[in-house]
Amino acid sequence: MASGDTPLMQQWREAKSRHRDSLLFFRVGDFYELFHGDAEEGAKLLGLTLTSRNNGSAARVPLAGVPAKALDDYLARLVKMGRRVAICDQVEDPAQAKGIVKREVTETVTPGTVLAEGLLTERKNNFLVSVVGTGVDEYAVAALDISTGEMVVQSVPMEELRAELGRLEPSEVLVPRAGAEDRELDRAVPSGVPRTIRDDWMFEEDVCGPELLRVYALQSLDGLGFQSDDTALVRAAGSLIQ
Amino acid sequence: MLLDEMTRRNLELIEPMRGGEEGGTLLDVLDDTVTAMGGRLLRRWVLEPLVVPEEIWARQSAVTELVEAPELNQRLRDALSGVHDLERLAGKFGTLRVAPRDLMSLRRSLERLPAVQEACHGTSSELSRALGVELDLLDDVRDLLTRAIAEDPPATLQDGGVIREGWSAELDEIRTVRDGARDFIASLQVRERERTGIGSLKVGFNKVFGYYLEVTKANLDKVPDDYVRKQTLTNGERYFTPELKEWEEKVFGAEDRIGGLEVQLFSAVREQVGEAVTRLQETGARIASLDVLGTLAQVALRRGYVRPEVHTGFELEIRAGRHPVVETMMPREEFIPNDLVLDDAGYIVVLTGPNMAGKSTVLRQIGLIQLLAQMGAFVPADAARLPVADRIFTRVGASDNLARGQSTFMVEMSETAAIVHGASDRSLVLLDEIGRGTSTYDGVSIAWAVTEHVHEHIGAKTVFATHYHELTQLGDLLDGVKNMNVSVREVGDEIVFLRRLADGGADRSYGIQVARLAGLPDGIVARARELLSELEGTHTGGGEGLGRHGVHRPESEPPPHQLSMFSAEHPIVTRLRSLDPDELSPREALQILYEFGSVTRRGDDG
Repeated sequence: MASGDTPLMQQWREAKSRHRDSLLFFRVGDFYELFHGDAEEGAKLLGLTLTSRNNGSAARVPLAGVPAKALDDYLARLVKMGRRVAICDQVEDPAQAKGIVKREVTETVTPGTVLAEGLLTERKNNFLVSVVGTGVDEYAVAALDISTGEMVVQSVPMEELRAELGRLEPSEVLVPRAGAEDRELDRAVPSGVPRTIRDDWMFEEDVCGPELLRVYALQSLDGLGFQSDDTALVRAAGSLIQ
Repeated sequence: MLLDEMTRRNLELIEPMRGGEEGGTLLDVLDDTVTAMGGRLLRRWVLEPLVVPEEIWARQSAVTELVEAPELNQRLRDALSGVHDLERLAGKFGTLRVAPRDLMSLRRSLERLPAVQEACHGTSSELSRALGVELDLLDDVRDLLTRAIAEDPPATLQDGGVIREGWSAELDEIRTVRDGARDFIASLQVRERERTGIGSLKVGFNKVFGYYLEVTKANLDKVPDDYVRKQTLTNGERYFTPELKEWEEKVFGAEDRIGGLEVQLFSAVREQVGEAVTRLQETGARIASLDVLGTLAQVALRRGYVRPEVHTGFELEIRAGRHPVVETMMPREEFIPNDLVLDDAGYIVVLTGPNMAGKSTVLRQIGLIQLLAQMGAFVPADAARLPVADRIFTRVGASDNLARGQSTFMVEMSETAAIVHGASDRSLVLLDEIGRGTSTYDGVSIAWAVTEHVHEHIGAKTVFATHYHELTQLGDLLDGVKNMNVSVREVGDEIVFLRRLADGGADRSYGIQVARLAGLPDGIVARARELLSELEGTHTGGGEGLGRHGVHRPESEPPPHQLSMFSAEHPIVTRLRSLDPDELSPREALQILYEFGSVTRRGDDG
């Protein structure tokens, strides 16, 4: 990276490197700023004014920002468009900070994981759905409404997948990378619903099983009604709660 | 029951066909829920009709009881209406995003529960009693919130004053100290005025500078030596004194401790309520169900719905059925109700009638009534007997799916294929104009073959709307297939839509009359009429009118030869039969030859 980066930009790069697929809203004083590519995209999506700032000796950095107070409105719009957003906040009191204020990503918001009241539709469940192929023309489908804590898990034959996903009206569908090329699955996701590809390990049984036990504070998955051969269901459900 | 995407869309259950507009869906007509939870559950009931008869009957009994006792229902709904979104409140405890006002909403909601339970004691249906009588009132949680949280807490914890007086002796003590110090500072105003003789001296406070004594410019000469300047204003100065500073520190110290203590106490309350999250969710789910049942009763009463007899047999019978959504958009007397019976003697209906006559409305109406019945709701009809269907399939109207890059015809055919594969003899199949996306011959052939297949291999109750009146021949050929039509009356060259469902097939398509109604110029209409009578040969001329609608062709007369595939004879042969060469002028004869030539060439191309 440019050696002329200001400490602020170094901080930004570090946060951005961990949230590459999200628009990173970076708190600077009373504003949340977008930099570089995010700024260009944000300007286009939200109609923000794209400006730039001169960071010392570094090249001019594209910049677009929103007032902190108005963040929720902008988030709502982005989430409706199906974009992922990461929010990087100042995590210490600027008055007491030595040097530059510490910043951390405190929240990531995606259509399926919003919690703010303004972003939820009151009379509609907000399901985050995970779909895992079982290889035998059947899919494991798990749906979680994070706002109410409801979770539904079921096996769905391939020909019914489209109808089932339509009924759930998901806000976002998680798919393992291994299923990214699955045409049937792609067709089954209702149009306009963002499909998020996640790394395969997040759907592994050894990861998902223990995660379910931990979150629901259980000794055995039987407690959730899973049978021993429900591997795919466990994988679908487990991927939702990470 | 699994509802596929087309059915959801075609029946306009939750989204209108023309996207973006508000209103016009079944959900809009039904949704009179008083809680957000009820609203979400109703949406799910609409999208997820039941297939287990016992479950349907259980809901029906609960709804019936509330229809019959409107005061009871009103009491229940009044009690429910103050209940906030318990499910989402519970969800917040899971993520620690609980604000002080959420606890207030929760407390107020819980305060309504006894009234809900009380109303449910007045019910006798198993479902309402199971839901309401055993409702977990969460007394312990309510009690905790009432005692610990202020009546009307501020929006954020930092604003202070979230914890109610009397909850923590320690907190109350520090608050007393703080209030005492504040009072003392306030009393300084009087004391300092006397001491300095400055009548306009004020004690004030702001967030940046803290407490101060303010003196206007005119009195600056009277300021005593122990005043220390703090801030200069345009028309005065602000000061502090060692004494003021000392008391200010007492206030700030107390406030710091109060803030810390409130955070601690609030977290403890939040954690304690958090342990009851599962119970909150359970209670929320029951409230949602009660809300939906009461809402279905309310809608049934207001709109004059009846309880359908839901049975496990085969026949479907609807007396004076109405379209639940369309009827709300016009004055009651204008909507024409319709009867329909589907039984062994006639379980496939070929529904004919011109475009615009209302065939699609009739189809959707049947589907919606079946769906309402399987939700456990009442239906818009005078009476209804409905079987439990395993699936409802609909293909109504051309649904563009251009976004997915498929042609209208492809969509239509793949949807039809899905129905043929998925339907059973327990399904209800509603088809509208399949085969419209291609040429007439192709279209009629496909429609014909699909109907035959449903008849021979599936046995599903089917209503098949088409404006190809050729298909009415199926009614004569196959047992269990009957013709019905949406009537029109012909008055001279005009037609009047009666929107009434009648037995028998429509005799013609009336396409030209409809085209004229739609505003096609007279010249074009006249030419179309001319072409039609040529195409139809000597039978049923377009412009003559039959005088009376619904007249069937005389038994002796063969079906009209519009389409070569249904007659043994080629249309040209038919045409030749109808000609009297002696009466033709040479020019007319030449014209007919040209016409034959073009018919033949077209046939070769096809």
